[in-house]
Amino acid sequence: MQLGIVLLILVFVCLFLGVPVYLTLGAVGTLGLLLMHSNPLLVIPQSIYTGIGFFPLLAIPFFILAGELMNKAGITARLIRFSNMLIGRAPASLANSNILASMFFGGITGSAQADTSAIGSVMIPVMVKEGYSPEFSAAVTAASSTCGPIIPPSILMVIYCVTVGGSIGAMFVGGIVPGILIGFGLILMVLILDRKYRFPRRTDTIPFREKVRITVDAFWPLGMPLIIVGGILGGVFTPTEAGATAVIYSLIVGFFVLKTLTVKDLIPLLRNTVLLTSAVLMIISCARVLSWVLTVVQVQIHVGELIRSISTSPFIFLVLVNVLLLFMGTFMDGSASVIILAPILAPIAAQFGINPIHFGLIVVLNLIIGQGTPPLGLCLFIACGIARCPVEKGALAILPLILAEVVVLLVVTYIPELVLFIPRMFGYI
Amino acid sequence: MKTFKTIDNAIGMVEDAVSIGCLVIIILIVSSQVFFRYVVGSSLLWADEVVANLLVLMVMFGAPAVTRRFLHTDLRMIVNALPPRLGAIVRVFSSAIGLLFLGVFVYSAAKYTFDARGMVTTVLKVPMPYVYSMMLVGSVLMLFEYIKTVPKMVAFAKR
Repeated sequence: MQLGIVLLILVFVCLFLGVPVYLTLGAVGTLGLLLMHSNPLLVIPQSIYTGIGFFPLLAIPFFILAGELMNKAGITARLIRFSNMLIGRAPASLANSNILASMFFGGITGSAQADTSAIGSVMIPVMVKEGYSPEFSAAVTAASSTCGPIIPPSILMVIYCVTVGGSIGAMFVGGIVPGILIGFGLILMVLILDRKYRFPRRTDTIPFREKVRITVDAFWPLGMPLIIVGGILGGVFTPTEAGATAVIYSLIVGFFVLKTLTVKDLIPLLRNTVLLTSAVLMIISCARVLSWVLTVVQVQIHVGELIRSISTSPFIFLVLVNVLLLFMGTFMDGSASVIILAPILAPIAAQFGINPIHFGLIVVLNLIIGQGTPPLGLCLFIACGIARCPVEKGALAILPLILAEVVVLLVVTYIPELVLFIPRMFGYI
Repeated sequence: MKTFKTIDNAIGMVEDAVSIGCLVIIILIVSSQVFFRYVVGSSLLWADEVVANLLVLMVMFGAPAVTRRFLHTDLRMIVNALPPRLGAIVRVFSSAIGLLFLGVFVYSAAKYTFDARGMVTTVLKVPMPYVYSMMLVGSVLMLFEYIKTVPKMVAFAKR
């Protein structure tokens, strides 16, 4: 137990010293192996090989590439026009269009950062031009991009499921309601803020013919989430194969339907996918070295006993988990946090009788909210960069939106059926 | 210096080419799997084994490319906030941790590859030393790229 705690502390010390996450996990794991007199020369390569060469992990590069292809093919503008049309002349129309576009975009990319840069680069300048403050435009973009990794497909959910051994398909469909709730929660908060700030409101009407054209334009991008979720739910393909199908679909749409992609575009997109995937998979594989040590010293059991000595109530356990993960999410990358914490927390949650799909959603939701919060919310940094406003101003502007997300988080945490009813309906539970 | 730069550029190109090539082949194989299952009515038995190993190969050549571009996830907030001199010391210390681990990884991957003599993969019966040598090559490349980044990181902290 003591060794396990010392190693966990060392992980955080190394991280704060600026050691890259994968090297931290590998180095601390190796130290643990040496202290346990185990054979590190066998465990390290074995863990790294099995940690990477795992079929379900292929979903990660597939969903990243599909999102990149669709974005390059020019779907962002189409989704934004479609969202503008749906929101119409409602109060704070552009801010709400931004949120709705992020929800649609989330069904295609599964990455909050991709959502922020794609939607933000189009929406933020337009919002500022219409009279929104740069900091509020950045805040809405950063907060709404959190829908991306909740609405399926979600790269973070794939990482969670691979790390703790859950069903990716079940997590994907479990994320539909929380993702929509986050989006609607944000729209509600914008409407509340509108009563005080009186945000600009669109006055022009879109002719019927134009509406039909916009809807037809949005058909191809919106077809992708339907294929992914429909294919998984219908048992046509596994989540990994759904990812590959999404890539093929994006290529067909980009090259033959929209005709906006060229062969020249492919190399940078493939390179970017390889870089992002390799960085994540090295973290996952090195975490397996540390995880091997932590399992042998039974850290999960001891931490579970420690938590039960504080309280035996699942309610209190979930409060503690929410506080811990919200805190972690504010300064650490979501995938790294999942890989370090999920193997420790998931078995304890199971002991408390919490459904693994429900708990997985809580973990992902917490960490994603952190992407938009100071001090190190990456999405907030990206959005403030696009809006050319100081991050401190963006951090203040995003607070009410974060509050709305935390309220949704609490609702999802304490009403498990919101997450579980769709997986139950499709026989995952 | 010029020769080193030429070799370094060549290594960078190989890293990119191999990792991107692996991804393209993976996409083709997994898509074919769906096609074969639903259209032809039979599965590609070898596909899972090949794809899993291609993924390892992709990461083993992709991770050094990530290091080359300083894209690995890390937390620099505290180190960057330190006074320059202390920051440089911390950078040297943290680089040493990384170098130590990568050194152990290279050695252990070499031993693991050597010890796998006589073993073959389940479906295609490929000798395991060939498969595990991907890790050996990858770990050497990661160490090479990491060593290159150390002076830059220390210099950055000194500024």
